[in-house]
Amino acid sequence: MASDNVFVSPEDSVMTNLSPMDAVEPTVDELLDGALSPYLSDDQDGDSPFVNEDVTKLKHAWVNEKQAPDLLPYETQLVEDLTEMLQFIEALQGEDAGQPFTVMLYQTEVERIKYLLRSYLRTRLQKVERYAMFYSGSEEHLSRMSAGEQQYIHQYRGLFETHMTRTCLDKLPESLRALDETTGNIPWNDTAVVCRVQQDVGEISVTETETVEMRRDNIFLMPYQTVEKLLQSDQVVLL
Amino acid sequence: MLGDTAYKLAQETKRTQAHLTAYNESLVEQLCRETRHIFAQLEALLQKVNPALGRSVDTRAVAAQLAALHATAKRNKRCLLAYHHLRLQFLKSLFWSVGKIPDELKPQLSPQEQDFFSHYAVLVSQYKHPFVDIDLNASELPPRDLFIEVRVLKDCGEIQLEKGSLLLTRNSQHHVKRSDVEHLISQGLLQHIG
Amino acid sequence: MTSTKPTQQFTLPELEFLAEDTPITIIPTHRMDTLHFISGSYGPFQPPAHIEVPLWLARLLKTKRRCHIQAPTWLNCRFLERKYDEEQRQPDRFSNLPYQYLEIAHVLVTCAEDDIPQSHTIKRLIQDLREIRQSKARAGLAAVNPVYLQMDHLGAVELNEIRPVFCQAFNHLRKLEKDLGDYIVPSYEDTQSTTSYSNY
Repeated sequence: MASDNVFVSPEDSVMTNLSPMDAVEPTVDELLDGALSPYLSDDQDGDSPFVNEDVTKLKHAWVNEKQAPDLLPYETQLVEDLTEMLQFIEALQGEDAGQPFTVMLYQTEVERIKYLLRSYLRTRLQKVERYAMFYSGSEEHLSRMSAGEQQYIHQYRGLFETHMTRTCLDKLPESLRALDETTGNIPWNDTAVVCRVQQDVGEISVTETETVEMRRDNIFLMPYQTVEKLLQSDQVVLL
Repeated sequence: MLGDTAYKLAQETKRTQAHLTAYNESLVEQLCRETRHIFAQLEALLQKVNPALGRSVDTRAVAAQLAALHATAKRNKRCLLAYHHLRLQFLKSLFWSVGKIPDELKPQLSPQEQDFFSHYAVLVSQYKHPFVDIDLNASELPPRDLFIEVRVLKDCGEIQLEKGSLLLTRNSQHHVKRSDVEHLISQGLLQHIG
Repeated sequence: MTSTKPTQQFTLPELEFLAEDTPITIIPTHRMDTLHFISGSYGPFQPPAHIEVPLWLARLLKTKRRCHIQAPTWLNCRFLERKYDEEQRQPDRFSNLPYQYLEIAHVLVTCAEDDIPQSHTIKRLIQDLREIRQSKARAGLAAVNPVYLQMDHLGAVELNEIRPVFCQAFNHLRKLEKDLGDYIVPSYEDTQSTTSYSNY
């Protein structure tokens, strides 16, 4: 019976008793009212199955990091928890593997989570390298990095400076030998980003005189600086 | 003419965006030498306007010359940095995609660049250490199928799999776990066929 | 060549990956105990009871012939035709389609064509929607101003396509407005991504 299936939400119950071949056309009202809401945002409502929020959060973290011009705070807890889960599952697979088919399913998911972690970490590392000269001298940015990243940035900067010094700087006149911090640019926080509003925010200032109302599910293209605080408080996500 | 050598290096940098050219040591040396020479000229000019020598000189003309020379020197420095920086990007890119410098590219690198590459590799493996399971160097492609069909393009000998080992001889086809062979695909030794 | 430069652009495989957690209803054909994944628990699988699983799992089970897919309620000719009409009637806004409609449709039509009624028509409708929304998005470039742009109901793939041009236009306009002197506006060149499904 479909009714003891926790994955069916009340509004959808009309749909689930049908086989794919003879689906009755839903009414337009049903479609417009219920069908689209699960897709509008990543929030899981009441009757949904157990979903590990960590994975959803890490997805957002990756996308946010990719879109934001500046380095965001490192998600220590998320990375730790998911890495632990991965190690746990892999250990389980070692001991009592079970049916090959289900093993394959679990391994497929493990690869997905690894991919997500990998993408998140590499996106950050790319930013750290790009702005190494600037970030390594900024307490604010260092505080947003993991211990591993902090160690990385100092060593990378050293490697970079040594290379530039040996290949050309030392052969230049003395006053030109410095590698200024602006070599390699500074992140430009006024750059455009696209975001989706996760919950009603109300009026936001966009210029000295203008405001705009930001409601749930709106999509905006705006300067990063305008939405930076909203991003920190999870009121928007970047797209 | 002022700036000619820098221009040549800039052109060289642009060419390098497509593929890695041989490290142009002579051009780099030349540009550095020229820049030192510019500073020597600057020194000489500054002497001219030294009030202690009590000469009356058109200071605006001298100021203009000083400005032009200084700007050129700074531009030369930027060109040098840009050239070296772009080549470093290339090296890093090689590391993340293939994991090593292919033999045919080794002659294109300066000794300092080879040094950089090996130090960079060490740096990254230190960072990777706590994440050894998720294999940071693995493919940037999202996982689709756990197992894939591959054809061997060049003899690889026996490789270690997660479970057991496999002999990869040229032209043979295998059904393997993607994560076991990704690095061989990115090096062009295997071809992913399905 | 792997890029070492950070970029805002996604590749199509990345966009599909991001869409693959979307809940999809399947009808299992084989019994299975509850599966306890890291990302969630699903099951038990007791044919013919319908069950909701993430898209990636639905695709995998379908390709291994362990289930049938039930097309989402919006992946339906009448619904898509209505949406297309809406797109035509309202040239200055996008109709309300699921954010990842292109990715989801692509995966389902590719792996479960037999489970989707009138799949050929659906393919055509999706393609039509894609094209009309694409041209609407491009026309929207004229509306870019240096303050903000609202783009409700724009899809993920669509956004990814216009992002480089729109962001660069926005940035340039802002720079002109603010008159920052010799400040250099960064460019968002991406040499790697292919951002369009060429044929549906």
